[in-house]
Amino acid sequence: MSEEWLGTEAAAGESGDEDGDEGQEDGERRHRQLLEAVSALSGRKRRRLAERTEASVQVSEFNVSTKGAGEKLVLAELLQPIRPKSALSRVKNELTRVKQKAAVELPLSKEEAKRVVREAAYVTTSKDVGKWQQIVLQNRRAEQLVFPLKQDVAAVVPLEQAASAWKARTPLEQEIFGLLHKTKQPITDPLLTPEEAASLQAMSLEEARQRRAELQKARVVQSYYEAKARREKKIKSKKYHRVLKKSKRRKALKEFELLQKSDPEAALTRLEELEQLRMQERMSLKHQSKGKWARSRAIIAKYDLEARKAMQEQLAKNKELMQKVRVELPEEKPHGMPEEDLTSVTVPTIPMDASRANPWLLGKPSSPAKELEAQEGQGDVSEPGAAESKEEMEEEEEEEMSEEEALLQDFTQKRHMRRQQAGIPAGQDADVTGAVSEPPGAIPIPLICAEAEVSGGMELPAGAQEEVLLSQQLGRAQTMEDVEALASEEHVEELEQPAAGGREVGVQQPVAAGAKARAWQQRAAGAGTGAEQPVAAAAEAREGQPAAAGGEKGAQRQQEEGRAGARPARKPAAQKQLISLQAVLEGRAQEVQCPSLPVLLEEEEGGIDQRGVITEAFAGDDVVADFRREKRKAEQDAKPQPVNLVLPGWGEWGGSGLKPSAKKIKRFLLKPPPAPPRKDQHLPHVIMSEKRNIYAAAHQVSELPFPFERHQQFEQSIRTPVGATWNTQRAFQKLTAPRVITRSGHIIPPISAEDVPAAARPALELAPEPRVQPGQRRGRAGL
Amino acid sequence: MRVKVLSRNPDDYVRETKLDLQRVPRNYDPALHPFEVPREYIRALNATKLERVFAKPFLGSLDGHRDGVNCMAKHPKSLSTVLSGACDGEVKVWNLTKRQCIRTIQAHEGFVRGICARFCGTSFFTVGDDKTVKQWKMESPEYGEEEPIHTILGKTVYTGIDHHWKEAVFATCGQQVDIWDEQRTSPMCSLTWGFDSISSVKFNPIETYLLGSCASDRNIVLYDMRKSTPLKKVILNMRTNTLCWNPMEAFIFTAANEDYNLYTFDMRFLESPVMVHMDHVSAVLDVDYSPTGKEFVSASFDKSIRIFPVDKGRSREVYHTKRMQHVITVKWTSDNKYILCGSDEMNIRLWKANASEKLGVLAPREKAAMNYNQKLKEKFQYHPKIRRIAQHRHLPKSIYCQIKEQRIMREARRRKELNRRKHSKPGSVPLVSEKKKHIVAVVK
Repeated sequence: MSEEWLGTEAAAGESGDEDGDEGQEDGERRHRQLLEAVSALSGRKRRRLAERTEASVQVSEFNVSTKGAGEKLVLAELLQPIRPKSALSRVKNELTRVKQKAAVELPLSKEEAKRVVREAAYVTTSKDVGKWQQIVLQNRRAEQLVFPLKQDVAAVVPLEQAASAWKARTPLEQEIFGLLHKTKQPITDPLLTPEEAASLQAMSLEEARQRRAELQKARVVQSYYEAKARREKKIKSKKYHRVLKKSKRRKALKEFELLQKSDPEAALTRLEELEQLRMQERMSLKHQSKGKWARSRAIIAKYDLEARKAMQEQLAKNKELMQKVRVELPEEKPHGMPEEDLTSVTVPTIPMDASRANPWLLGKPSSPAKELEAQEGQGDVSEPGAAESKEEMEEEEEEEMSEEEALLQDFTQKRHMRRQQAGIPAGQDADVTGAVSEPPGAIPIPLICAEAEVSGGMELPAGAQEEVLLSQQLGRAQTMEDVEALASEEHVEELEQPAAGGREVGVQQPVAAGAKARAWQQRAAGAGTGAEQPVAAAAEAREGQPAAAGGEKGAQRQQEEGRAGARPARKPAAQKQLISLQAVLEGRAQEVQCPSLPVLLEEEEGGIDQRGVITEAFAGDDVVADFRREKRKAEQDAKPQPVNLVLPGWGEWGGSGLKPSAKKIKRFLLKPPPAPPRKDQHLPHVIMSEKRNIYAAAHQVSELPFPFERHQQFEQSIRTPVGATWNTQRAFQKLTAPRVITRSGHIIPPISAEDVPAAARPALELAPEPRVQPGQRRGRAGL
Repeated sequence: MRVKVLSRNPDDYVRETKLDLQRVPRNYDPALHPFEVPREYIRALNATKLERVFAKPFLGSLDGHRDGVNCMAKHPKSLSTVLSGACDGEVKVWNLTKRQCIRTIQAHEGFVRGICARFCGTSFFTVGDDKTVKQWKMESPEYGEEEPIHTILGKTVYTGIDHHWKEAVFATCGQQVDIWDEQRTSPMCSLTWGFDSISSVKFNPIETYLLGSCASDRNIVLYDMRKSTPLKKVILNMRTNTLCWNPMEAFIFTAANEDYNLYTFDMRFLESPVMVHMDHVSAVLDVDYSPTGKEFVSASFDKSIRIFPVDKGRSREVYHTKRMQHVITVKWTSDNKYILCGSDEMNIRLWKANASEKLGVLAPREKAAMNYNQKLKEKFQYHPKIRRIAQHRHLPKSIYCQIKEQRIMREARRRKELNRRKHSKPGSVPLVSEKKKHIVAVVK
């Protein structure tokens, strides 16, 4: 209905347009009157319609009438709600929105659309690929790459698994496992047995503290003892060790005595044990002269008295250990210890002949033993305490026993050996009667010399000996013999004196044997004609003398019987009365001892030293002078030369035989400034040339290579040697490690995310969404 | 009682064999070992000389093809197997250890354009001039004729094929790049960008959804298989024959170009190549990366193959023989030890990747000596005498002359440009770097 009304109104508006403004107003008014009339006609219904119009001047096409602006306010209208209806407001909103909307753009061309897609795809894809950047850089910079990249990582298996997986198979393993299980030893991690764990739990705090204190104390004590033991072990003093050993021995002995008193059977068993030990020793042949050490000693023994002594000790030890223990008389003496037995029992029992026949028993017929024996024989020494004291004495004496004695022992041994080898009876070679019969004053000087030689312990240097001996020519061979004979005679005389008591031991002396000895001596003299004469003669004399001294006792004795009475005994050796003659002779032979002549000889041989050899070899070329000359030449060459610009004939007469004037020369001879001082002027052995060596230059780098920025860098890289000559093996391996290692026969697959080390993997995973943590991401360039 | 025992490592004093020298404790006092640099220099010189003396890279040739070898493929699981396709449609499977052909298939009519093995090594694909894609079993049948497992008949000629590295998907190229599911006879999607024949397509071995292709309108196009859309195109001065992705660096690939050069690109920055590799004197026909990703080998129409370090502009090695003609295809074996090249004159040649390398098992001392020599050569590589010896190669006269000729040409061009720059307004003749010079445009 309103539309209809509107239509009429529009029609009226159209008609009004034609008339103009006034006409329009007129028309309106008239129209209103007409409407009122019509509405009055239609009655109530029409009025209602008019009431429903809104108060607005404008008219909208969208069904909203604004008619009735000038109308009266009807009270009934005020009863309606102030806000407009919701449905209408929605419409209104829509209306405003629709009004604001712009026109839709034309769709993109197909090409452009594709390009957009491509661009977007490219950006995302290159971002995706960019996640490898870090890994790629890392691999490019890597010192070493091992291909294939996927290496099998040895997984660490927990102990429990490993233990459970392992089965005991061999009987030993099973046994061990059985034991472990029996004692409930823990195989798994907290390595405590149940008992230990229980005890740990059971312990209170106090207890624990106490325990700990105890433990600490124990540890301290232990460390103290350890330190002490270490200290003692380090002590090198022989004396200390000897004392120590002795005290030990004493202790053992005391124990043994006590044992004997308290429990004889046990003592017997102990003795049996000792016997067992002895047998073992005997079987094992230890402590003999066969071992490596013993042999080395034997070689050195010739020159080194210490070594000789050690050797003898060893032999004594051997003997001692091999000595049979006398067990059959347990109640006789408590000192059944073999060590004492050695001295007290064995030595006297050995008969002289036996000792000569048996090399084993020759080991130590040394004077101390004899002395001891003598003492024993002399005194009534049978109680253990006395034995001990004796032992101590013995040792002290041994210490005192000088090198001379040791040497002497050696000689006696040798002599014995020789005799046995030669089959010469000991007494046979013992006469130098002929020599003795010679008038002693015949050749005074040599005699004196010889005497000096003999009595002075051979302190003369070899040269002196030589001189003395060389003074006697071949023609005087007789005198030589005489000298020696005299010397030996004198010696024997001296020897005889202390042993005067034991003279009845003297044996019959065949004269023929004396002749033999002489022949031997002659041979010695005759052999000494050549260059080695003095040496040989001396040596032979030396060896001959003791032998003679040993042998000629009988003859000497007989001869001097007459004199013996006249001569007052210088040293009445009361103690040595009981000593056997031989022992005495051996003991006194010390004066025959000689210096180590071979050593002197060696020195002579070694006299041609290395330096001499070299100088001899390079006698022709004088390197030092050559070098000096060379250096002088180099200095001359390096000096700047004056430039001669003198032109003869200019400004004066020229011609043959005419010299330019001095003035001209002075003017035109340009002297260069003196060169700076040479760098090698204070280095006499060096020539320093500052010229560029073109031969070397051909090998040198002329310009800085690419990756280096400063020449120092490059030089440094060259300076460091990489070879094994200059580096340790480990460093060498590190320095020469190859950049890329491949394994032959292994396919190298392309890199994949699994190959990337775990440290770098996060970058690989995070990269696709790089803006998750912008702060973090920004730090990494390139991603 | 505590017992202290001296313990020594037997390695310190025990010899390896009884013929070996006794170990001697050394004194490293530098005063006792003077002249370290000159001595090492001499050692380096000797090592370099010996390297050249022992440089005998040629191992053997596999002959049996009756036409030029057009394409080759490596077996992905077996080092000793290699496949080759010839211009007469014949495909051969070779055993490298025996250097024998173990199988021959008449696969196609006309050329075998492309060949690739499936990633699992059970089958391989060939494409030929007869517009077919054929899938073959790797094992030969017990009896009877060789029959392909599948044959796909296409509408156009396929010029190349490559298989996805992880999935049962392969890509062919021809008029467009097609991506195929192995189970279907129609492509999953076809990717085109302009109309021209595409000569080669390669899957990225690391990010396996990426593809690269090169077309005869001188461009290289990258594709994303997931979005089935091309990504970007770079146009070079001349046609790219083939490209190869770096197996260790996901975004790096190298393109073998007709203009004698190879270009290594970073796919994220295609505006200029990372490196221009120049040494060939004729078109480069094929390129293959070493599995370590540090080097690649290129085959050229100039009858030689060259080995380039990835980060160097010049080759480190050139291989040629008198009888080797235009090399069409080249492969670097997966153990990084050998190089295979197939050429026009029907042969496949086997080369050592490292010319002077000793093959076989090396004793530890040999290895140590080798490493030491290598290090010395590296250390003294800038010294002129050593450099001269290390870089000296004998070349066939044709190549030698061409190199000289091209050097002259390049020099003339350079001079001309210099002159032009000198005589024109400053800034009007800009300096273009060698890298930028060969790039025409990058199309988004």
